[in-house]
Amino acid sequence: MTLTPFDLSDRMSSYRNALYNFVTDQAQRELDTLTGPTALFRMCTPFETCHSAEEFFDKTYRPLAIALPDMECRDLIRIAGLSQSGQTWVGIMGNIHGVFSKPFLDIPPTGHVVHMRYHEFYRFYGAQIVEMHAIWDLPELMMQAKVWPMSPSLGREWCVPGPALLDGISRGQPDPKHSARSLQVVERMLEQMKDYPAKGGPETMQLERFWHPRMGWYGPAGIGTSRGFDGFTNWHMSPWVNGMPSWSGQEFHDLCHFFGDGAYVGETGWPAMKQTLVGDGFRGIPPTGQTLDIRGLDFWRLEGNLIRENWVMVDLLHMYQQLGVDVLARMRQLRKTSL
Amino acid sequence: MSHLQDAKLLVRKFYAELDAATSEASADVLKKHVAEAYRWRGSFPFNELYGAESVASSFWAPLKDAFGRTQRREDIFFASHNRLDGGETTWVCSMGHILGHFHKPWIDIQPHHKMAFLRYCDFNRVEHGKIQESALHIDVMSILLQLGSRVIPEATGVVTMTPGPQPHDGLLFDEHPASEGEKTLDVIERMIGRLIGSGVKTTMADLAADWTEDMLWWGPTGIGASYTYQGYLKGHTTPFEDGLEFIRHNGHIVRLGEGSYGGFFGYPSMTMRSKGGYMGLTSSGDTTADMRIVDLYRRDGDKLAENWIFIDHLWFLKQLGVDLIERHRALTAPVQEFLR
Repeated sequence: MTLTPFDLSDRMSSYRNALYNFVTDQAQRELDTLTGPTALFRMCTPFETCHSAEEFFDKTYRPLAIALPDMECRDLIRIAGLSQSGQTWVGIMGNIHGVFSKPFLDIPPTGHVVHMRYHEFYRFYGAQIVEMHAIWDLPELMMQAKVWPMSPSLGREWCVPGPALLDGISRGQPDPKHSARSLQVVERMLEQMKDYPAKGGPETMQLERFWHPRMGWYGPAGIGTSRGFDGFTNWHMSPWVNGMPSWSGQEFHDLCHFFGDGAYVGETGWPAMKQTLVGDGFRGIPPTGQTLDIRGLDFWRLEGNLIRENWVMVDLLHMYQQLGVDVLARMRQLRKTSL
Repeated sequence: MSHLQDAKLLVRKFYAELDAATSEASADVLKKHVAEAYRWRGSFPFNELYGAESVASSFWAPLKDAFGRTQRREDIFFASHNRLDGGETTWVCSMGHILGHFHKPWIDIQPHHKMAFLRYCDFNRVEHGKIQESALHIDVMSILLQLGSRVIPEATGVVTMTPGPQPHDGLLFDEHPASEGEKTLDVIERMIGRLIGSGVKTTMADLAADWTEDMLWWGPTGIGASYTYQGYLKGHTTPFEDGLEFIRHNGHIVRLGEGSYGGFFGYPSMTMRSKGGYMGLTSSGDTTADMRIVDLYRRDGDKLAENWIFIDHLWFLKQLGVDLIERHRALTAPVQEFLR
């Protein structure tokens, strides 16, 4: 019997439940059960690639669970599908909640509930996980602890919501035609978007063709959330392409894995893009002329043929690292308590 | 009545020794320079203390423990006989900041491990070669704001580091003709007579009569600073008059003047009722509360050019049933608890 992407995502349920009622050892065992012997857990900066469920947990969840003793992982989206190259991917988005009680990566505890978004993509081979891409929104955590040492977001910084229709999980087997149609909208949207700035201003993106007028664009903390065509253009897209106009030269299928799941589309890439910082705009960073690897993990939700919501995670700390800035080190410097 | 220059020398010697003293040694410095029946008027949460030991152990030693090595940055220094008692008593006034590294908890508030600036105005009465009494007004609310605390909403003026006098001539270590100080005090009294006479209401005509057009009003944390007549009306007098009902003036303890500088303090000066709005407060119903106020002035010709004000807002609020130091502790308490 061949397992469909949906079946594989369904098999992750007990792992996801263990993350919800967070019991570290149990969650690690559940992941280990799903994992093949050569799996790579590609985690955002500063954790980087781990070679086993054990190493992954030791570097990430185990210290986090000490900092947030009552933590829970609240999955808001779980989707699965076959990528253009026939790979099976499961994508999961949600927020970690917990009372921030002890330092984490030297980020000082607040004593209050905190939220930190996660985007995770798991690649299956047969019935086993062979690769994971995941980004935790560490800037989001630093901002709540008031120790984010870099410039603020142009968009809104908040606890990003799940899908408006509350159908991010448990939708059942998708209609393959529906999945393909959704994927096609996203791929066409991205192709059209490349015209900006290559062929003109923001109007060349033809947003109204692909996006719902009440679109929600949920960028990572450091870029923030924006809403509507103008919001998306002003607070994310224009600053981004002003800084990195080489966006227009991207061949998405070279680096990214796309798949549809009913009204949802997922994308992951490690990196997903390679862009050169040549102008003023992106996060107030001076243009260094460097080409950056950009890890980008996306979820889109469509209504009809229009994209209504888009959850985006970019590994900003990884981008800063390539630019010679150790963000966590700068945070520690600001928190230094001795002369 | 002591000679002004002798009184100044005594206070300067006292400051030099006090500023250099460690936390443990501060009591000895006080014992050396203050009288047996030393009276000390402080700001909330220190309030009134008596005797060298008590002032050292309650105020100076904890401050030095928290701030480490301190530096006094004096912007105004002068001495004068007190006009209110016919010149019977002699007072030395000093205003500026005491800075240090805020490294250890102070009044149960957690440090930020950076420099902190404690804005102060100190009055010392000197008699028989000793300091008989002091009134040390400090801006504790400013420290809370320097920590990034948001215990009060945005002020109507600008809250900033308070500079010294624009001509940089505020340190009157040398002797000055008595007539100059008398003139300064005359102008000050002319202005406050007009102000109190009107029930603490200020009009443009009042301002034009007593203040230079480029007047500066260096207000306390909670109100902030304002510039020019219009700025002063907008930043201070209008919200102050709108938000507070003037109940009574309780008089001043000293009125002093030397050279172009002068001022007074009351402990308390005014009794007010909060009507709502002032500093983000609501109405206080029938509750009235006292304000401990210091005003120092710089005279330019026959007008006032600058005014440095201290209002013990934390004490004012405490009487209305609000303890902002407690609130600050509550805002930071969970972190303190977890970091223990």
